[in-house]
Formats: sequence, C-alpha cells, structure tokens
Amino acid sequence: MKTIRGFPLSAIKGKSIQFDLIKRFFMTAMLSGLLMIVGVLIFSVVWGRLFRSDFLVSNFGFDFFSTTYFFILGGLVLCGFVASVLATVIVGFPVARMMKQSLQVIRDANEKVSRGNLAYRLTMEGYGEIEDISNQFNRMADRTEKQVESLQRLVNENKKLLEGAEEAASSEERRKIARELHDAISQQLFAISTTVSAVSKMMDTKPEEAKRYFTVIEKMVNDAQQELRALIMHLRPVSLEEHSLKEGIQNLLDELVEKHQHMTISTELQNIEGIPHGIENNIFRVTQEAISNIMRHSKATSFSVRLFQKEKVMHLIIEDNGIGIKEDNRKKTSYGMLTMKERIEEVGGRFDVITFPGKGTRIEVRVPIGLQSIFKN
Amino acid sequence: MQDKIKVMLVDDHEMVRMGLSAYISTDEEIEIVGEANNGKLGSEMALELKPDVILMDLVMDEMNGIEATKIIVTEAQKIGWDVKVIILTSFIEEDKVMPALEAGAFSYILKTTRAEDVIRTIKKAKRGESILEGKVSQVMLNSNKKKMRSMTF
Repeated sequence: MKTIRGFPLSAIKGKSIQFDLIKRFFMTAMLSGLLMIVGVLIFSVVWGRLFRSDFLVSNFGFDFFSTTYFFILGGLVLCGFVASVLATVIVGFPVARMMKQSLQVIRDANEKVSRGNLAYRLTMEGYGEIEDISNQFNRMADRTEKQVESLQRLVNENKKLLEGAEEAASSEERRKIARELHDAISQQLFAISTTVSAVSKMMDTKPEEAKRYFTVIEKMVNDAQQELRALIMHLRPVSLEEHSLKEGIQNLLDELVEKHQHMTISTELQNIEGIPHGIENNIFRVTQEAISNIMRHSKATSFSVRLFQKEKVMHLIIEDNGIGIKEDNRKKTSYGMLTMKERIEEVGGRFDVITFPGKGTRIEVRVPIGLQSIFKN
Repeated sequence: MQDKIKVMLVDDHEMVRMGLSAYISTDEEIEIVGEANNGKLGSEMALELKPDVILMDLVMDEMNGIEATKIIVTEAQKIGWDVKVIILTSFIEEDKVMPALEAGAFSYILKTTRAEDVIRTIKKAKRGESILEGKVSQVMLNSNKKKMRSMTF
C-alpha cells in the first residue's frame, strides 16, 4: 500500500475532493469559534441588562459580570476557540490526509484497471468504509477480469471457427474448380481432339467438309479459352491487397475489357470511405464470383457494375442481360450463390438475386457502413 | 456388303456430339442414326431407332446415363434386341463406374481416349467384345477387393 509523506500543495491548488474536505474542517472550526464569541457577547449584554450587578450581589453574594468575571469567561471562550483550532489541526489533518491517501490509492487502482491491468487489486484494512469500498472495487475487478477472459476465449474460438470455415471453403472451392474442369474444359478438349481427328481423315476424301470443320474447331478452341480464363479469374488471389474496393473492382474490369472485347461493360464506381479492410475483401470476392458467373453461364453481351453509398449503406449492383438463372439450373448455381450470400451476411449485409429468365440477372448487395467499431477487432 | 453399324450418341455437350459424329462419319462401317442431349430423350430415341451401339455420357441434366442404360438394357432383354451401351465419360470415380456396369453397360471408356479408339470400341462391341479402359478396370478391381474384404468379416 502507498504512503504519502508531508502535505502536498497540489491538493489545495486543485479542485479535488481533498481540498474541499480540509477547507471544510477549517471553516467549521473558525465558524464555531466566532459563533462562541458572538454568542457570549450577546449573552453577557442581555444578561447584564436584565440582571443588574447590585441585584446579583444582593441575591447571590457576587457580581457575575464584573470586569474580572467577564475576563475569566472571555478567557475560557478564547481557550475553547484555540482548543478547537488545535483539535482541527491535530485530528482533522490526519483524518483528511488519510482520506486523501485512500482516495488516491483507489483512484490509481481505478486508473490501472481501466487501462487494462485487470489483475491489480487493493489491500486496505482498518479504514471502515474505505475498506468496504476497496473490497467492492476488488470484487468489481474480479468480475471484469473474468468477463474479459471469457470474451477473449470467445474471440479465440471464433477465430478458430473462422479459420476452419475458411479451410472448408477453400477445399470446397478446389472441388468446385475440379468439377468445372471436368464438366466443361475436359469435354471441350475431347470434342476438339475428335474433331481434329475427323478433319485429318477428311482432308483427302472430303476437303470441302474438312475446311468447314476448321472454323468449328476455331470456335471450340475460343470457347475453351474463354472458359479457362473465367476459371483462372476464379483462381486468382482473391484479396484486394493494398487496393481500395473501388480500385480492385476497376482493375478487375479493366482486365476483362482487354480480354473480352465483344462484352460491353459499364461501370459507375464511387469511392467509399470507412469500410474496414476485411469487409472490403468479402465484397470484392463476391464481385469476382458474380462476374465470373456472368462470364461462364449467363451468355450475356453486356453487364454493369455499380458501387455507391446511400446514407449509411453501401450498395453494389451487378446486372447482366444474359439468359437468367433457369429453374433447373438452380441446383448447380445454388452453392456459389450460397457462399456469396454467406460472405455478405458475415459482414452484416443483405444479398439478393433477381433473375428474369431470358432477360438477365441482377445481384444486389447492401452492407451497412459506419459500424466499424464493431468490426475493428 | 455387311450392314453398317448403327450408332446413337447421348451426350449433353453439343460440341462433343458434333466432334464424335464428324469423326465417326469418316468411317465407312459406321453410321450415326441419332443424337440426344439427355438420358430421357436418349432412352426414348433408342427404343424407337433400335441402334446396335449407343455411346452414353453419364452426367446429364434430365435423367443421367446410368438410369438411361438401365432402361435400355432392361427393355432390350425383354424384346431380344441386341444393343451394346458404351459409357463414354470423363468420370472415373467408383460411384460412377460400378453403378454403370451394374446397370448393364457393355464397355466403359473415357473422354481422354483417342478418337480412333472410340471407333475400335464400337466395332468390338458390335462383335461382342467388351472394353474397359485401363483405369476403369483398376477402379473395378479395387471396388471388388473392398467388397471381398467386407465379406470376410
């Protein structure tokens, strides 16, 4: 426990509790002394008028209010005043200092705990109410420490869960890509190889037909190439790294424009401030997935990406003019859609898909921003 | 001269059907009598056209190749129609190979096969010779081993 030597001036300078306490001790002592003097003066004047000295002498044998008696009385009062001041100094100061000390110790302890030193405890004995306060403080600190502990445990568990989920997602992603390679690319390669074999056999016998098949082969190769590109886009690192969401999406689209000149892409991207990086990454991944889906399945000739903020909500709208999602294709697409939905819901947002068969698909993402304090840690 | 071998293609990839028919059409002994893009249509067409050999894909939207094979083979046994279903797929998983063979598939080849081997398999099927591609027979043997092991316990 801390001990404080001497009487620090700072206690008087500052508007502290201690200052008030000491001032009150002085004031009380002074006032009581003054009141005693005034009271005795009034008392003696009134008494003196009512009971004249000759009346007192004749009745009681002596004059209470003769000069001598008056001075004796006055002396007693003075002594009382001096005594009360002395009592204040002797008793009041140590009590005040003790209070001040205890309060300082409690204040320091509060400061320590609030700064994160949750294991700090007070030991104050024999101070009555101060002891009660210190015990209460210790109980409060105990509770806080336990709560913080369980909170940290929760955060850790959550982190482990997230890592597990991430791992599961990436292995699911691998399976998905393998399936995609199986479903599309390997079929196309087989088709190309059989057609090439056919052409090589036709060259001598039916050269005209062979020529026709060459254009078919060219188309097949182009299709396979496009499919591969879409898959490669899927495999790219799905993090924004240093870029903002706007920059990331812009880069992605620039790359697409270069490779798919037949596709019309319109964009309207706003820079949106104050989205934590983790959330930006999730939104970026969803954007990538949505565009990859458009390239692979929609047969669209144009699509648009809009990113903007309305009040405290970020909007991302991706629209294409493709074939839409047919009922019988729902099963195939549902896994990808589900992961997209999950990614958005993870950051407290909404994910909606509106599809018009034969006319296109619209994906709407809404994420509240300005909740950063929740996501900061 | 002997009749041409009548072949039907059942595959949901248009490109694959086109490539196969282009190649097969170069062989004088074989003719393509029909094409279907799913198992349901494939089995219906097969029952009507009665081809000698059917090249069947496995994974298709409306009715898969295994179901279609089952329907065709069952029907063929009833009416004494000599048909050989050749599975031509890119899948080699045990859960595809075994059910397909149990459904009555005659041969099982993969889409990594060279085009001329597809024709060879068709001709052999017509003569009554089964072909299981190397990897496929491996899968089958492993599956049987597993079955044997589970039987001994």
